[in-house]
Amino acid sequence: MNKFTVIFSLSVRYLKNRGIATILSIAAIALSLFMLIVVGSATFSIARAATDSSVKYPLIVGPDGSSGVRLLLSSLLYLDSPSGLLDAGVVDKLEAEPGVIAAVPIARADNYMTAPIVGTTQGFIDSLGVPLLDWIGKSEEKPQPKTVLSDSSLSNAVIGFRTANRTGLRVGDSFNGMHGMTGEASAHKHKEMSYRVVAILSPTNSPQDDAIFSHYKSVWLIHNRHLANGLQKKFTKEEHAKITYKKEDDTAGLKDAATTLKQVRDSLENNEKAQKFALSKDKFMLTSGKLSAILIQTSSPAVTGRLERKYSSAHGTIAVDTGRTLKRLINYMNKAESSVSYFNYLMLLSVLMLIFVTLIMSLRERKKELALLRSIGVGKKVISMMIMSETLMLVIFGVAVGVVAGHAMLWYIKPYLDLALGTNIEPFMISKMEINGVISTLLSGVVLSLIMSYSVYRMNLVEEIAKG
Amino acid sequence: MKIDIERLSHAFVSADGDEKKVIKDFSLAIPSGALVRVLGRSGTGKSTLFNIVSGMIVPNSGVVKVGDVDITTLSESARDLFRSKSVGYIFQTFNLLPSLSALENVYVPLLLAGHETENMKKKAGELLKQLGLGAHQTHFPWELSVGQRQRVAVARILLQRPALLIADEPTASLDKDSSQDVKNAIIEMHKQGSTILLASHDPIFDDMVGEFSCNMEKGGE
Ligand SMILES: Nc1ncnc2c1ncn2[C@@H]1O[C@H](COP(=O)(O)OP(=O)(O)OP(=O)(O)O)[C@@H](O)[C@H]1O
Ligand SMILES: [Mg+2]
Repeated sequence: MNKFTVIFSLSVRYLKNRGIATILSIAAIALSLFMLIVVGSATFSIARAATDSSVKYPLIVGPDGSSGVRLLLSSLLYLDSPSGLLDAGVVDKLEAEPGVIAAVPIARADNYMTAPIVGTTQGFIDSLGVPLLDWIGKSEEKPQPKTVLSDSSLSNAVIGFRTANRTGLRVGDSFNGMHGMTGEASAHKHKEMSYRVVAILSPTNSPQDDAIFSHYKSVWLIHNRHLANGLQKKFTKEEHAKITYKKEDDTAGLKDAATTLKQVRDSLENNEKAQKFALSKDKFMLTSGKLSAILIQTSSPAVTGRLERKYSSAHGTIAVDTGRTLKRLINYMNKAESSVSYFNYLMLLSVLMLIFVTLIMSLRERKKELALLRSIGVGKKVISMMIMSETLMLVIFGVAVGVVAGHAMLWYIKPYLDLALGTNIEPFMISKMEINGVISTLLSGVVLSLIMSYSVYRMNLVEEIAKG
Repeated sequence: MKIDIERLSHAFVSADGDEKKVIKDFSLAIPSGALVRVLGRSGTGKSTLFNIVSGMIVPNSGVVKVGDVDITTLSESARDLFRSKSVGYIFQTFNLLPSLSALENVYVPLLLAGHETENMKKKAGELLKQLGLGAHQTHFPWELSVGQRQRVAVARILLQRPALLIADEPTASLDKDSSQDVKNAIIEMHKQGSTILLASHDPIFDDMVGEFSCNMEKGGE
């Protein structure tokens, strides 16, 4: 029999004999690798979800003065609030540009239970490319409606999969938008119009799952009415008499708000309060004729580049190359990822150190056993090789169990993780983080086993024999 | 295997630097095949002498010729090889590896020491049967009684057939029956020509004193 075979099987025997200690060591290594696997694939799929939703719209046009990243975050990923307003007329201009396939208006001002209400068009819903999960009349076997958002039924709302889960909204339910977050001083509920859920989207595994979609004109309607109410409340009877705009004139709620505000300023020329009011509403209130951003589908990167330049300088707008900005964002996320992974690596390291301590301690208990081998004539080299192979095997088992069980576990918990993180995790994907984890664990295992075998080599085992 | 010890001295240096002379200028010529009963109270250096003869300890001075070579001049690996080929130990306790079964304990350590002969596993099984351990081959040391464990160690010696058998208090923890089994094995090895070094306070060996004995009192001076 080959000596290495004997050494190998002796090591296996020893590890088996250590029972629970071996199992715990392997489990500890496996668990810390599992954490790396989860974080690695989750960050990957978060980045991918963002990328997926951005490739459809390579260009975003937003109000001048907002940053590119913020524009992307607010209009596509809904992670930030919009930074200002731009003229809705830009949509027509963009649609007239050669090479523009679609220009989709985005009007974001309110939320329902923190789910962003995104005013847009049916075109945007179509571009998500997922069927409806539920719609009004589905239970009566009515077919899925082709159009859910139109300017003829502004109270319609379509909600994302996770929004439905989180808020409990079902088709047919009504709700009111809220401006700002509960608890903020300026926060208020929009009673001007209630939305009605007409459909729920299937999961897209993108930020859209967390949103509520309505027609952009519904956002105008609500804020026009809000403005009209404000005019009535804020001004005295005498002041109000001078304002030619009357709330009753705008029953549809879609009269041009800019004209109204101009009237306010003109008729109350010397009224400082009125001037201030009109100016701030014009600037910040998403009334008719205004948008938060425009998502543009182009026919080629060249068109994207040309439009980016053109709309960055004129029209009171900035234009953002989605892909490039996203890359910057993902780079930033990778930084965050690596800070998480440092923590994970640190955990892995402390696990290995603990295992090392238990192994070194067990060496002391094994002195007699090793001395016995020496008395039979087993060489020091063979003994240190045996110890080395035990340690290495322990670490390799740990890594193997970690990788295999880790991915299996990830596969098992994927539905829960996806729901919690809004991701579409690929459980069997191997991330860079995992590779790093595996390599660094194996390397530490090698170092560990070398230290172990060296300390055995240096041990004075004869004394153990002499003790009898 | 004959052993010639000439002017052997050895001292241990304790942690605080004190030197403790254990063996002082000790000489002894043992003819091949002799059975030597090494006498002396506890702490007089019996085990130390054994460890020097087996090449586990290199003495401070003196010549220890085992066969024709002075073992004190050999390299560590050469001494390991010598032990695996020619020396068998039986200690008072702890002769077995805890993670191996009785059967494996008979032949696996020998394999590891590079001592390989044909059909080792089969022979190991037969030896265990002869020693009445046929039903205990797959048992682990903790599942065996003290006497059974010592018989497994004896089986290993019988499989190894070393030219030199060192028995250091081999029966001190045993009952009469087990002690007799160990003694029989020693006699058997002796008959087959092995040189035997025995340190034991057990009166069971008293009828063997006549053969050859040495006293380690006062370090064998
Ligand atoms: N590795 C060592 N380091 C220091 N001192 C040692 C060492 N080994 C043995 N000694 C000392 O050497 C002396 C002889 O020890 P040894 O084990 O050879 O005695 P022994 O005759 O076998 O005794 P016993 O009958 O109790 O087994 C003792 O005093 C012991 O303390
Ligand atoms: Mg002794």
